Amino acid sequence: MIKLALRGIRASLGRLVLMTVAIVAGVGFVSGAFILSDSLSGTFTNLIADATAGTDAQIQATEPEFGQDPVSLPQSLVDTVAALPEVGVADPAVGVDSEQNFRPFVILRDDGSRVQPQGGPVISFSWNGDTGSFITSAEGTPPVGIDQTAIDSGYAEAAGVSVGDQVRMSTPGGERTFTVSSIVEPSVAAGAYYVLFDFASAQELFGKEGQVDQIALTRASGVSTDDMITAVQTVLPPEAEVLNQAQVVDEFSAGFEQVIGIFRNAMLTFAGIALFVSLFIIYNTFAILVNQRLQQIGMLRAIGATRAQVRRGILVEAVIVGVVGSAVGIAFGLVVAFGIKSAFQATGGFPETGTVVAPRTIIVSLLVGLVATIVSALLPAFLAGRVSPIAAMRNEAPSRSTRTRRIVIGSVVLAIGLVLMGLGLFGGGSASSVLVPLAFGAIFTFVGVAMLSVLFAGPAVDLMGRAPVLGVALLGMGLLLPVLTFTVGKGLPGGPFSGIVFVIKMLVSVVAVLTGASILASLARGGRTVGIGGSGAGLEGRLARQNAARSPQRTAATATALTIGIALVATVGVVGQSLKATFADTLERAIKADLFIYDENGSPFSGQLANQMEQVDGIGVISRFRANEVRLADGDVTSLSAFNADTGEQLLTFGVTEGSIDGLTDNGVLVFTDEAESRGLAVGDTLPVEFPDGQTEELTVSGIFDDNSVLNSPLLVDLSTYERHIPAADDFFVGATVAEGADRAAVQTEVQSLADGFGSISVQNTGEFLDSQEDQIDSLITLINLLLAFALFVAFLGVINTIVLSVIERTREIGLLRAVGMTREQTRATIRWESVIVCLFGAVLGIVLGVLFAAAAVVAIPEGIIDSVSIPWESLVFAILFAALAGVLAAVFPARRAANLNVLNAITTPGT
Amino acid sequence: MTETETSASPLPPPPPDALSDTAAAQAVNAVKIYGRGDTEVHALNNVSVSFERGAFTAIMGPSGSGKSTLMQCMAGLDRLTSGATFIGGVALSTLNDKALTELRREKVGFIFQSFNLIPTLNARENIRLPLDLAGAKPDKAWFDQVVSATGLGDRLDHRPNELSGGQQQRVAVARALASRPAIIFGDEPTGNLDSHTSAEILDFMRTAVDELGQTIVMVTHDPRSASYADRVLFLSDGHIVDEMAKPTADQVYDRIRSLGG
Ligand SMILES: Nc1ncnc2c1ncn2[C@@H]1O[C@H](COP(=O)(O)OP(=O)(O)O)[C@@H](O)[C@H]1O
Ligand SMILES: [Mg+2]
Repeated sequence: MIKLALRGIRASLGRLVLMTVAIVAGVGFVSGAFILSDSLSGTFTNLIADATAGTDAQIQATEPEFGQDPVSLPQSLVDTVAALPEVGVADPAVGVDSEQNFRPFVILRDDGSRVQPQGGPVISFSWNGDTGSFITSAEGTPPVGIDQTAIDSGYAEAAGVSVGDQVRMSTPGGERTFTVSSIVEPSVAAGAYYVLFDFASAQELFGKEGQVDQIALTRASGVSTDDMITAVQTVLPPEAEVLNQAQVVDEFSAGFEQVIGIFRNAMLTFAGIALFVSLFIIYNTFAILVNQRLQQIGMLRAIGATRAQVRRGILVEAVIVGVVGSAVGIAFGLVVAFGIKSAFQATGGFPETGTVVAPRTIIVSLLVGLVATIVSALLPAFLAGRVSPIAAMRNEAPSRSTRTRRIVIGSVVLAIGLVLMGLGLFGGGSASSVLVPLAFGAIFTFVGVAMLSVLFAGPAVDLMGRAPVLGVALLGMGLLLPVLTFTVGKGLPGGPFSGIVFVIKMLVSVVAVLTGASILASLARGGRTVGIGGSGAGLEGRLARQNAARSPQRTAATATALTIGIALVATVGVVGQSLKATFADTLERAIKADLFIYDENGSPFSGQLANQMEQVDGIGVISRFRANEVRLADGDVTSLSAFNADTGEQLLTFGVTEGSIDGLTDNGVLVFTDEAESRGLAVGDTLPVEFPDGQTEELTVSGIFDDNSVLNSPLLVDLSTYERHIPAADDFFVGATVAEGADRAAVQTEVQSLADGFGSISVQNTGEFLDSQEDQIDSLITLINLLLAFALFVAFLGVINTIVLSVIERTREIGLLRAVGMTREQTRATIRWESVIVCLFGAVLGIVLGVLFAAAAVVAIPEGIIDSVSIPWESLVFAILFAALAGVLAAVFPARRAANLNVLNAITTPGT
Repeated sequence: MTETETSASPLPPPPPDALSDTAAAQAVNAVKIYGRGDTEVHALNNVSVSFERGAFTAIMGPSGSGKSTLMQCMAGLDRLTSGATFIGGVALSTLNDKALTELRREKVGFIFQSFNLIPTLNARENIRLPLDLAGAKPDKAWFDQVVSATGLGDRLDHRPNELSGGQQQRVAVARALASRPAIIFGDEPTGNLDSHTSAEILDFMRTAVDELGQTIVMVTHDPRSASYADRVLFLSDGHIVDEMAKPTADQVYDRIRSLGG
């Protein structure tokens, strides 16, 4: 049987190669996800290990709570620890980073703008001048005294400074000038930039006099690290902890692992979708192979092969194909990982990494590929076992499940899927209690739909393949697409990426219009083959349609592969569009400001800008907006926003339903309606709030508001309340109105030129602001679609696969057609047409499912986020036409193969 | 004018006026060699033959004698190694694939031993196939005549797998007739049928020649089938070795025996 399986593989090598490609793609994405994430975390772990090499342990403050700055330790601890006989050297350090403390140390250019390359954080800490561990090498001499600094080479390059230059920096104590005494290479760059001072100067500059953040410990000679740690622990205050080097590395990489884990899971999700799609293709290929070998199987049965032997033969074939496909897939994963890594590195902020292929990667990838192949081959193998010798002689396919059985099983599977999806959507709870039932629900739903679609695939493709239907549909949708693009869509493109998308859309539209028109024209002329793509409206169309309808099982499986991809694209599109529509609605209602000023990287920016804006002619009113985390009496940490209460209402709508905004200036707080309800707060109540400075303030509820769409904070206070506890003078966001009668554009230009001095600040009018908010949703949709392109690509391979198989299967028939006068072009047109209608069937089914999924999701998502279903017509029409075009492309190779068949050989091919 | 070339020595091609203007199809010094070197097979060894319009010709000969090769080359399904074949005065070697394909669907009809019909098309659609491929409007009267001659009546809307073998072959004959070709080639068209059904089909073909004026060339193994023809050619080792006019089954049988086939 193994010998036969090997022979079978050799005989149908071409068919198996295409199927292998489907496995390779799916497994490749799985292994690529592992390889990339392993490489990344390996790199980080090594870097951290290198950076901390040479120290045996480290004292640090215990983990801070609710987003506060880490607590610093008293400097006296350094002496206490150093006095221990077990401790050799105790080296203290202080640090501060721009994320936590509003970029205190940023180099300023001559024009006052901040040197903030690519939005990476600028991190400052003390450096004792040692090289070899964290700082691998240094040019110049380590900084000494409050006027000297060392910066890393990346930052030096961005600022254009070298050793000995003077640089101006913004610091928490105002602007200062430093001499760059050294330019250093840190071992961990990872997109951050470093500004370093000596320990004493750092303490002074960071406002941490008498405090330390970290004490690096080296053990005394002859003492073990454990003994030293035990000794140190006896003198540590409760807010401090001591970790050995391995623990430091672990703690550090745990943080990265979390980020990398999210990234890996996202990639694995899309790899899983691609793999799921490839199951249908593998299944289809085996089903067709079994069908083509009916006579061989029947003969084997006749001469005494048992059912089990026949089945085993098919499964052995599956195992071989699965192993080969997975092995190649792992290699392909290297390519995928390398491609993604290069893409990220090109955009910056990604460290150089080695390539880690862990044993786990190889085992999981092999298993996944193998299991996928075997699972898909199970049903065909089972059917092969049922082939009776007689039936095989008569060349009859083994009887499959009856119509009723198919309806029953398909409906049950579908129902399970729908119930699971419903549980996921409406059950609520944690992320995994939503996602797990949703994912399994989707899998069951697709399998159920695939089973049931066999029932209507025949009539459906028969209808879709009719020349008048196809002609009118292509022509109509081709004309509709540009209309939609210029009305509801984005119209002419802005950037290079949207430019490419635009060109593709217009091309697809032109091809669809020409094809549709040529089909209709050829119909009008009585069905001769004419026009672009040789879309014969007559016989070719009929043959194609009947071929597609002839084996509904195959058509349904092929189409389902496409359906899955397109359904997900449509779901994302519809949910995204609905989100945008709701978002635009609420934002339009909520905003009254004319100008919106914020940092493109989302970082806070100097309060000086708002001060300067006040001097601009034509500015009406201004409010600053800031936010931070606070703790409530029950320990909950929540976000609190602050703004100028006297002008705020002229810039945003808060929808105050009870009380009023006026009380804010008098230590009041506005509470969001849901929050007020869940905490049982009413106007006049007192709400104790603990600010990050550790002080608790008794705020009075002065009002309840219900429009939270811009600030997205449950608590709003006046700026004066906020500044008492968080004095840093940086704003998150500034809103302004333009005075009556002033030239809006001129005011905007002037504010923008002011803002240019403060870094990457954008100044937008209402329309631009709304657009930029929608663009963020669009970018997310685009990203997801790019990832789903994996799955669509696999489905595309599936279509090629099926069409090639169908050409092989019909070799004799094609030969006969050619003999009685079908031209090569007519042959190609027939194959092309068949491929197009299979793709269209898959696409239409996918869009129907996708819209239904999205509608369910919209119902499940709270109304505050999405309130109604909104259909992205442009994208959906584009998806259908794109699928049709993909059908044409998928048919290129099989059609050429069919057209170039040697007529005589084809006719004399042993019958199938 | 009929040529019976039995010499194996290569002859210079006959002058153009040697072409018969009453012939539906003609082969001149046809040579077909399969393979190369040691495995070289001379399937046709300088065959010249002409098929008169309105005649029913049978070709007989032992297996491997080149009957199928001759038909395939004359029908434009395959190309000769040397020599020329003509259909309606057109030299097939001068045509490219597209022109050859169009010639096949307009001037040539085929009946194969089996697998003659497209399984997804019903009987009527199969009969119309060459016309539909050409995008031509069928000559209604002719089409009806051909269809009624098949005697299929109400089975015309059935797919091939719903028809008996004999019915399928009748559809194949009708399909070959539908475009009113210059000539119809049949390679053992009744080879798969029992003698009764076989006789039906041969009657049908005979009628097509007598009443519809068609030209038919048919390969057969069966002397009784050959007796339906106006003329029988005997092929052996790629040569035409003999011919017989107005054959009876017994005469053919005797001749085959004397040829050692
Ligand atoms: N495609 C081919 N390749 C090689 N040899 C062939 C091919 N087709 C036919 N032959 C050989 O040519 C000779 C004539 O074959 P054919 O015309 O089919 O004979 P017939 O139809 O009289 O049985 C035979 O010896 C056969 O083996
Ligand atoms: Mg033969």
